Amino acid sequence: MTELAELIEGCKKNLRQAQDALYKRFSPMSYGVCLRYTRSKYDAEDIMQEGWVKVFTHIDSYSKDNSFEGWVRRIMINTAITNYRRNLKHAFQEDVEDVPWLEDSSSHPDNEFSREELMKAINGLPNGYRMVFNMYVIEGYKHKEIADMLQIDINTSKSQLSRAKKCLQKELEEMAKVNL
Amino acid sequence: MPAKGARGNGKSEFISKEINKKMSKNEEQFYGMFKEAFDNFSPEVPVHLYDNVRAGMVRTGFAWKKWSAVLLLFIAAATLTWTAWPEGSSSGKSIAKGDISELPIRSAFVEHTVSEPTQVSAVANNSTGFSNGSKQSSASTYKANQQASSIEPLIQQEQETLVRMDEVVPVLNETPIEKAQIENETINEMEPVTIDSGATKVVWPIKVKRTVTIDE
Repeated sequence: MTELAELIEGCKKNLRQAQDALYKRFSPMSYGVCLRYTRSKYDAEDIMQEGWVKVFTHIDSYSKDNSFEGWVRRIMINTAITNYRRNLKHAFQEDVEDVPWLEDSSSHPDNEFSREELMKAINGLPNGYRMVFNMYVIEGYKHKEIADMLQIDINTSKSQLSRAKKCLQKELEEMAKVNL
Repeated sequence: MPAKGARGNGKSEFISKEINKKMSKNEEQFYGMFKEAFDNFSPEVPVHLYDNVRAGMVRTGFAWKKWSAVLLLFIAAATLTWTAWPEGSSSGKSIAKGDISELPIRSAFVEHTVSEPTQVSAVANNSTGFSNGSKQSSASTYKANQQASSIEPLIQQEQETLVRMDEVVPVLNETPIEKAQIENETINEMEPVTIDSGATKVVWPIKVKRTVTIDE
């Protein structure tokens, strides 16, 4: 039995040490996911906390056939989606048409951007754009899957991705000008 | 000309393909830049976050245990109450004790109920309205008749009530005089009582078999 399998078995038995070790091993990855899906680190911490409680309380449902890292990542993404839907009811919704339509330059800035700058650009996106962009570009979901998970139309998913890209281009161009 | 047009079409197709290729390449590059940056992104996690996770787990576990405990306690208490409850305590006697306080109020109501002679006689005799002779008007007879028919079920109901009240009576702490009065009074004493110059006043015994003659 591998070390990870032992940790998972320990978590199933509700052993504190196994939970600590598992958290220590996978928390940086999960925190990175949470940071990408939220606007602020405080929201990311909320999702992280909620997600890890789910991990520990539902670890019995984890199947050994799948990647544990993928399972944890999926839980974090689902928690972020749930949080997004929850906030959708209360938060001010930026209509798609209200977002300034940027000209498609069909090119990306040649400058190299740091991870922090890219993260800042992603965090500046409207919530819907950010969700679709993360799921399509980083996680590699198809538009059909995104539409099912977010309960939106496929065309909405496509248009939001396109507009997210344009917003990001504009933001990165602004950053490039400042850096010069 | 057609060949020239074909060449023109071919050129435009080539250009559009090149643009699409460039665009898709740019798009791939653009997305690739993000994917590369965040593929193995593992930032430093704040230390307090794990404490929050533990607290969240405790809350979740506590909430579950708490509601389970409450449910179990409720079921246990209900079962104990159901099994340990004495059988006699749910009989009519204990309930009757609770109704004792209503008796004086009903008695007071009875003592102040006064009815007109014609109506009373009609009701008392349970007649069709002609038993007192043809002197009475048909209107008053009809009214009395109506009242009699409406009160008749009440009388039956009260008689049934009286049976139950008899069961209650022993529970009461009555004085010997009251007890004797109640025993002597019957439903037959409902006949009108003539007082002085023909004015008849009857107390209708609704709850307690009691007729009171008012002295003027």
